[in-house]
Amino acid sequence: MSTAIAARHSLSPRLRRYWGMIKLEFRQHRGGFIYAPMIVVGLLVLMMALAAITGEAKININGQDLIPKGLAKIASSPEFAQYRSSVLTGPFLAVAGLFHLVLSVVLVSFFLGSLFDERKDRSILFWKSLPVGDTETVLIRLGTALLLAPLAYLVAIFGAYILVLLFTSYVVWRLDASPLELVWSAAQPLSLTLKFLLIQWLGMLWLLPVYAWLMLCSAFAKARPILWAILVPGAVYLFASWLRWTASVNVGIDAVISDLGNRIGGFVFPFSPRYAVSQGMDKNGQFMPPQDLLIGPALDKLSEPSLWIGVAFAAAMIYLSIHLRRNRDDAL
Amino acid sequence: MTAVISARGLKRSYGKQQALAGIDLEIPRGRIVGLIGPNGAGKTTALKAILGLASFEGELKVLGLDPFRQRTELMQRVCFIADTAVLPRWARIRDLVDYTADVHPNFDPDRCWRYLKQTKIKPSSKVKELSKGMVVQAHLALILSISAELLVLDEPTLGLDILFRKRFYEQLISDYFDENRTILITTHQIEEVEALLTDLLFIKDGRLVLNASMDQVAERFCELEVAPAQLNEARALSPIAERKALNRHVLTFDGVAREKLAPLGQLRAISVADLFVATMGGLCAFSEVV
Repeated sequence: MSTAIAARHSLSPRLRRYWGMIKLEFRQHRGGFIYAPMIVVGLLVLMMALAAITGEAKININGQDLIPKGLAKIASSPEFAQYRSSVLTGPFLAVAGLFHLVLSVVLVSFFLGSLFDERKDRSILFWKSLPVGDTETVLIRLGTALLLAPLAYLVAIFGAYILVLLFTSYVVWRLDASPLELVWSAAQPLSLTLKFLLIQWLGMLWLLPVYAWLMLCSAFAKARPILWAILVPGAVYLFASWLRWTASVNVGIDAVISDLGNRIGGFVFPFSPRYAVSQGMDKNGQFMPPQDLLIGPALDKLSEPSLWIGVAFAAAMIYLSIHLRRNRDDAL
Repeated sequence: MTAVISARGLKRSYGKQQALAGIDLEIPRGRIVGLIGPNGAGKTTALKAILGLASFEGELKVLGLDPFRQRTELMQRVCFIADTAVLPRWARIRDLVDYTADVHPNFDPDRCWRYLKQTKIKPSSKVKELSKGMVVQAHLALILSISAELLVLDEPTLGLDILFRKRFYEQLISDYFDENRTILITTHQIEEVEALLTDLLFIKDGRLVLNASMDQVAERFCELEVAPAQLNEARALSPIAERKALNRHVLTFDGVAREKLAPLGQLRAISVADLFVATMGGLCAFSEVV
């Protein structure tokens, strides 16, 4: 048998297995990975519909022009053309940020249950009766949550942004301006969405130690992984503070806490001032579209050592989680 | 052909408690082996070691593989059911059949659907909506559709009614079992599996106290119903157990010539259940006969 055929024979059942495992993760977590973004889209539609109706009502009741038509005139002016796409990026970031926040909450609950639920309902005995390794299982769960779930959200973000643009077009049309010129020729829904995915993935890398810690708690706890996840770092912090106050020993816990704060603050809420979005200027004081300000700093951060230190810690915790899943036999 | 399971000095302790105290075992291909023992005797620990779910001391090979280190490889050729219904509660039956078909190269989904059609379970049923007996049925359908060389069943029919239990064991023999397959089964309902076993393993306090084929069992062991007059004479032949039924005594013998026993009363074959009681309970001093 040639090596190519041998490779295909050994590869194809493996790929099929991974595909099956990923499908199962999405089926198990359809609530968080599929229904939740759909619900958020639904809420956005509802909000926009209400805004459209009440906006009309206000115009009618007061009998005067509440949405200044002058604004539309400014927006239509040639001098403003270069800013149009930036202005349209604002709503995108609001929409995408909302979805990202929902995904972050879903991921916290995913990881806290990732290696715990199967022990609680003893289904681990069924999973382990099939030829699927512990390493594969843990890594597929990790990858599904951090790489593929954002893809599912991406579809929703794209759809929601299109709806926002449609709503904007409606408003622009009501103001007797041209939606085609002001909205659709300036908006970049696809490129924004793809850039956002890249930022999300980079953010996942920063948050990897946090998620890996939740996973480790999930693999370790006999009950209530969330308590371990909160109480252990809490106890460590209290102990370190106590050491500092009583023995003047500084173990550098504040640096760790502030690093954690930066990670969570910077990447669960990726539009914090850290990214200078609000300033809209690059370091030379030139105007820069917000989407570029977002992606630039995120890419710059790849060269920061603290990112890779965090990844190394995460790798150790993932290794431990695999080890625990493999060696614990208290479910049988 | 090498043995399906072969163990030398298999040990496992939990803290100070020794769950397996050194087991030597050789199970060839094409057998149906009953592993029988009281609660806490080490049955589950032995099965966990065989299935690679727990580490162990000593030597153990299953289908020539180290079950703990090569578990994933082993699971392509071995399948098992743990004692109670353990299918994930959130899943639909369809999800589980799909998943098993994707990850298991030796799983036959058509066969599984055929088994499921014999039950009231629908493809869209969620595990949490099914009764416990139906979950067991679904689990059995999944596992019996995997063509494995070794099938390990730990209390497979717990929670099932007698009709389904009967049908399950019939199917196991007629559909599933052949000379290339080995089935290792533990159960407390000994009477129901007695007829299908080819080999018997009794385990007590982490040791094997009986390891024999059913033919050997029939040859070695017998029961003698003795009238009070001959009781002392019969007791002198060292029975391994004795019980009283009405006003007669029933003595169990191991390896005593039938010609010696026949004149003392009524000889008869012993059931596995009675042999189990004789070996485990009754006269503890005699339990380590093997």
